Amino acid sequence: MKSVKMISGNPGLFRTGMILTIIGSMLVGHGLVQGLELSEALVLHRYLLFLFACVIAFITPWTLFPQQSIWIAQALNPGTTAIQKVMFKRFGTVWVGTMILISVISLQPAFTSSNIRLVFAWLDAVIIVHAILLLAMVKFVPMGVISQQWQEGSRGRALMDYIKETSSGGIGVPAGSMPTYGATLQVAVIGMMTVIAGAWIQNSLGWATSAAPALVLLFYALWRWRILFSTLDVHFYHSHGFYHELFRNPGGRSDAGREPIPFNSLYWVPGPIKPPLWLILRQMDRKLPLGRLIIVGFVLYWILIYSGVLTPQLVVIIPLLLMLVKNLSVVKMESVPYLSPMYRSLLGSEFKWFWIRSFGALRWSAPLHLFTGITVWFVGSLSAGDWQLWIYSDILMIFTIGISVSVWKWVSQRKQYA
Amino acid sequence: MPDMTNKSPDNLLNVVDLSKKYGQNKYVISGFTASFTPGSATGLMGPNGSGKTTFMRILSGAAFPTNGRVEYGDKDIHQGLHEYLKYVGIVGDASDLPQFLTAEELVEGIMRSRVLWNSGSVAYISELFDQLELDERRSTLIGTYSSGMMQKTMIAAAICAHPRVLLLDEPFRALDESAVDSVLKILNEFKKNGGMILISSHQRTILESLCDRYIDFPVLIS
Repeated sequence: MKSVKMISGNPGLFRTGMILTIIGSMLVGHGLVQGLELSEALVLHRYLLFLFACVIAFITPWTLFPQQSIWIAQALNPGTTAIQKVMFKRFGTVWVGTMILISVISLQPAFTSSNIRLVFAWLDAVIIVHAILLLAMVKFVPMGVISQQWQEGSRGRALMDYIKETSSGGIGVPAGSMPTYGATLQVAVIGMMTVIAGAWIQNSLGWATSAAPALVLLFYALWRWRILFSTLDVHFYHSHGFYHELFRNPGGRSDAGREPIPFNSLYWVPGPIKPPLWLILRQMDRKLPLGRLIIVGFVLYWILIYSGVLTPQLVVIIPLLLMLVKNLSVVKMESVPYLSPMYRSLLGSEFKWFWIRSFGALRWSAPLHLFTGITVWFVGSLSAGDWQLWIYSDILMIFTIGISVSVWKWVSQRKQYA
Repeated sequence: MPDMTNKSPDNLLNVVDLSKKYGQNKYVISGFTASFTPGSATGLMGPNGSGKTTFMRILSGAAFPTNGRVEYGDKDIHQGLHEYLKYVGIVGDASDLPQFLTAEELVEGIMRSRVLWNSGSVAYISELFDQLELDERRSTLIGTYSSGMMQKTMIAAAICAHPRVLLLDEPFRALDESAVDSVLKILNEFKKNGGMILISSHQRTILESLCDRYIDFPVLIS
C-alpha cells in the first residue's frame, strides 16, 4: 500500500537498519548459544524472554509516537487498516531481530542435538513475543487520552502534588508521562509473569504445555486490539498529539522540573564543540533522564545477579547493552524535533559533529564505569579483565557510532542534492 | 473544482466552548465558541504565540482540546478523524513534506490514497501546478526545492483532494507577489464553489480580497 510507505518514512534508512539487525542478531544469537548444553539453552531462552518483555515495554511508546510528520498522514488520510499497518511496520526491525535471535538460539542446538524440546521452546518464545508486543500496542496506542488528562492536571493531581511535597521539587518527569511509565511497568511485569507461568506449568504438566499462558495472553491482547481497531484513527491522532506536545513542550520552559546542565560545567569539553554540545545536552536533560535510566538499569542488573538468574554471558552482555543505549541516545538529539537539519549544518561540519556526539556520549561514561567497577569488585566470577573489556568496548562503541553516523549523514546529504 | 454550495447544517463547522492549555501552563485558548459556514473565508489574526497555530492544529485533529469540542455537521471531529479528514485540506509547516518524492508524486499519492484517482487526474494535477506557477521542477525531488516551491506544493496537496474545508496556516509564507495572486485566485474560486476557508496570516492587506470576517487572537474568554 503506497500510503503506508509514504507515512512510514525513509525507506533507505529502514533497509539499512534491517540489514544491520539481521546480521547483528544472527551473530549475537550464534555467540550466545555456542557450547551450551540443552538445559542451559532452555534457561538462556527464558532469560532472553525476560529481557524482551522489558525491552518491548520500554520501546513501544517511543517507537509509535510522535509521527515525524502528521501532515502527510492527514493529507493521505489512511483508514484504520492502513494506520494499523503503519504502526506494525514501525516494529519491523525489532520484530525481525527478535525472531532471528530466538530462532538461532532455539533451532541451532536443535539441529545438532535433534531435540524436539527446543522446537517447542522456539514456538513458545514466538507466541510470547507476539503476545507481549500486541499487549504493549493495546496499552500504548490509546495512551493519548489519559496522558493528556495527567499532563493538564485533571487526573493524577493529588499524586503529583504529594510527590512534589515529599521529594523536594518533584520526580523530574512530566506528569503526562506517568501513565506511560505505569503501562511500561505493567507490560514488563505481565510479560515476565507469563514466562514464569509457562515454566511452572511445564514443570507441573509436561514440557509441551508451556505455551498455554502465552496463548491466553495472546488471545486476550487480540480481543482488546479488536475492540480498539474501530477507533484506531482517533487514538493514533490523539496519542500523536499528546506525545508531540510532550516532546516539543510548547508554552513551557522545562518539563522535567530540574535544572538542565549549565554551560560552565562542560569545562572538560574542547572550546569549539562546547556550544553545540551544550545545546544537545540541555535538550537531552529535559527530555531523557539518561543518568537515572542508567542507575535504574544497574540496580535491576544487580538484583538479577544477586538472585542468580544470569548466565556468565549475560552478566557481561547487560552492561554492554546499557552502554549501547547511552551512546545511541546522544545521536537521537541531532534529529528533528531537537535539531532541524538546517541548524545542525549551521552548527558544524560532519567532522565537528563526530566530536560533538563522541564527547556527548562520554558524559555518562565515568559514572557508568564506576558502576561496572563496583560490579567487578563484588561479583567473584568477574575480573579486572572484564572491567577493561567494558571500558574498551565503550570507547570503541563511541567512536564506531560517531564515525558511522557522520559517514551516513554525509553520504545521504550528498545523495539528496546530487 | 466541484460545486459545494450546499449550506445545510451538515456542512457547518462549529467550535463549542473550546479551551486548550499545554501542561500546567496558562490557557492558550479559553472558552471560545464560533461557527463557520460553507462559502466563507475567515482570517485568523494575531501576534506570534497568540494561539492561531494551536487553533489550526485542533481543527485539523493534530491536537486535542483540553475542554470543549469541534463539530463538523453534528459529529465531534475528534471522535471520528478519518471521516472528518475526508473533507479537509491542510497547509501547515512546509518542512513536513517528504523530501524524497517529487511534487507530482506526492499529489498523485494523496489522490490515490483518497480513492480520487481517475483518467483525468494527470491533466488535473498539471493544471493545478500551472495555476500555482510551479514550473517543470514539479517532477524533481522536493528536497531540492526553495521554500516558495515547497509552499506551492503544500497548497497543491491541500487542494488536490477536492476538500470542503481548507485550513491554511500562513499559506503565503515565502511566496512571491505573482504566486500570492495565483493562490488568492484559486482560494476565491474555492470559496465561490461553497468551500470553507480558515486562514491565518500576519498580512491583513493580502486577505482583504478573500476574507468575509476576522477573528483576533488570543481568544481568552474568562
